[in-house]
Amino acid sequence: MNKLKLLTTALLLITTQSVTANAPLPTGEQIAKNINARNEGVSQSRNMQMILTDKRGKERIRETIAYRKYFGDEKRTVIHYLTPRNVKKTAFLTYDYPEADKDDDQWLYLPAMRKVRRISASDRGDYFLGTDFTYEDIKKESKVTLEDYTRKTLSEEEVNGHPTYVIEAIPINAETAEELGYGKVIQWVDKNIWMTRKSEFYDTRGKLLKTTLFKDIKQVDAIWTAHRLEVVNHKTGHKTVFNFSDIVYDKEVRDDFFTQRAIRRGL
Amino acid sequence: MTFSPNAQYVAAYSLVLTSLVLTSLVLSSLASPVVNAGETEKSLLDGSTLNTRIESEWAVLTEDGSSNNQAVQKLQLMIEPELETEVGEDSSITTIVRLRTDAEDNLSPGDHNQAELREFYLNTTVSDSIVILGKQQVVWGKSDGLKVLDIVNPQDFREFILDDFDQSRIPLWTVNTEIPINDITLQLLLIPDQTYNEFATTGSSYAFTSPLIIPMTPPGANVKINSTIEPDEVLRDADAGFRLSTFTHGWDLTFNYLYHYDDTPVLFRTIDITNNSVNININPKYKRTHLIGSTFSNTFGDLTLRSEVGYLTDKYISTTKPTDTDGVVKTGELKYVLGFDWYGFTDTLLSTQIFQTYLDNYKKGMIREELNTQITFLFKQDYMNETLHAEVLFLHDIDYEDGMVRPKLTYEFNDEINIYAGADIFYGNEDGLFGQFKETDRFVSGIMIGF
Repeated sequence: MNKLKLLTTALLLITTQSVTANAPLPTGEQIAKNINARNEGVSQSRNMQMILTDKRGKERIRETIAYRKYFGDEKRTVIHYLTPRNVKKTAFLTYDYPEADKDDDQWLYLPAMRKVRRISASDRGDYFLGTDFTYEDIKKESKVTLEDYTRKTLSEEEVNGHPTYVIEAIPINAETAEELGYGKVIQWVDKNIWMTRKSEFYDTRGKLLKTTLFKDIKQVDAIWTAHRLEVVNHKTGHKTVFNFSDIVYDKEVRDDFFTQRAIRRGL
Repeated sequence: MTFSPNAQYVAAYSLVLTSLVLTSLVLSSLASPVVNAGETEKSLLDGSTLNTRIESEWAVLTEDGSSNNQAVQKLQLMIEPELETEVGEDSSITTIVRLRTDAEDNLSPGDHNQAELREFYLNTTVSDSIVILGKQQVVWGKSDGLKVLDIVNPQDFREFILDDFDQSRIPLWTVNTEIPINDITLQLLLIPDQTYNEFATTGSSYAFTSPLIIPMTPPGANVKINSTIEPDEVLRDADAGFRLSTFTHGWDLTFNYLYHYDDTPVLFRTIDITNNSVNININPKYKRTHLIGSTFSNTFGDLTLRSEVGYLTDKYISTTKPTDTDGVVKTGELKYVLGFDWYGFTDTLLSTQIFQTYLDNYKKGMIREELNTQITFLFKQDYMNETLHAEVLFLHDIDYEDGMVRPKLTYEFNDEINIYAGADIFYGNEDGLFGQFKETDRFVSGIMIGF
């Protein structure tokens, strides 16, 4: 009887393991949807330190405060520069609409001009104020745009001990690739928390352009949050690090923070 | 070419530069703490932040065309400390002082050194409204390089329009309130400050000579320019206006109104002919006008459209007609600018504007054309993660066939130090607004230190 029990248990284990091993990997599309379904709170405020380092090691450091808030499905983000003097009071405001066919709206306040300047949102592949992140990267943060890419799951790998799915994202057409500045993106997405831990960006000629690492991921107010982002541009040797601190979710962030009036006035 | 700035002033310039930089550094270290990530901000003057901008600019004329035949037009040092003091939870007081010295004497002869309280205002909130009280700049409009609605503050023309507007705008004592009303912001302005445009003095590099601005007088006539009649009742002569702004269906829209004194005096003229001599009396006087205007902007793919339009009800234009009793004709003036910014290339802005003015009561003999058209082109490109900036601005007047080209290269050596070099090149009809300065083409270079 005991032998039979043992045999049954062994068979069950073997069967379960074989089912797990043969389970199809989730599709790239499903993984992208899981990334976007991840809770990131209705609103967020945080301090953001930007460290920009050129290939000779010369550093520029910016201290900023950023706020983000969802208005239904529409995401609004504002970033205020606090230091150094040459960028102080610069502010960037963006409205990210859920409709795929609706262009986002963006404004930049440049204190030297004392004017809020409307900027085209289709330059999303341009680099954001001297960093190695594009306007699109800044706007999307840890989320992805479903309609810009077709995705497929390549494999499973570990990144710093965390199990991840490796997905490949290819822009849907040449025009989108040109707009985004990427011909291909490989992402390592944490299986358990649906956060990207690493991304590789390839240019439209297929050469490795940038590598981004999402580090120091831990829970804040029960929301998984990266506290450090590192990106290296392999073409220029330039590197950008974002360090986040004082992250607060769902504390009241006033609606009028996300207005042209607010970026003109500053903090 | 003569490269001989007055040695006495150069020595003084160096001394002033050294002492002011040192003073600013000490003050800055007291008021502006170094803040590392995660550390609490501490300062000896807690709640205050002092930032200082030091700019030294050197301009050399490309030919010995200046009035005093000197090649070095400008050797200027400017220091602008800006102190921001927190008062309460949502209020601050900003104080900006400008100290300026010029070792040359071509831009404002006899006025080497200037010190002024440039801005001084309280920025606070009352309920949901923003209230800014004090000496400040109020910027309206969406155009670059040319002004339609950006006339709330007068302008210093000491350097024509070559200075950044932020530097050449003259701040005024103003009560400025912004009140949110649903999706609309109502800005109310009351400006009890009778300060007007400042023009380059006769004999200086950018003194106006164009007949579009200065009416010509017949040869042999005795011309007497009487003192300017300025409004002097603080409240009765105050400017007042409002702006409504909103964002709807992708459009940024404003409606603007300002009841104000035109910042350029009207040159009333009388002619008296006695004993075969012609005596011309010029009586400059500031006159009021209504400004009604609007701005709008939107984006269409890579293209940003921006525009502003303004109508001045009471504009007075000088006339050369000798039979005109006061030498000026009253007219309405419609101005508009239509601009397109194109962001199609990476880190590049290509921008063009068309700017037109139309006088709706044009009479023969007026010193300006009924319709005038100017166009601008701007190319801007950033390199090396926005540490190197190249730009070329081109302004051209179609009717007077004159214009200006301004290439400039700026390198951000680090966060504190920028260096730049460029040129200001005028061309065309010397009776035109730009062509009048075609003898003052110059190379400009400078260093800007900010901390």
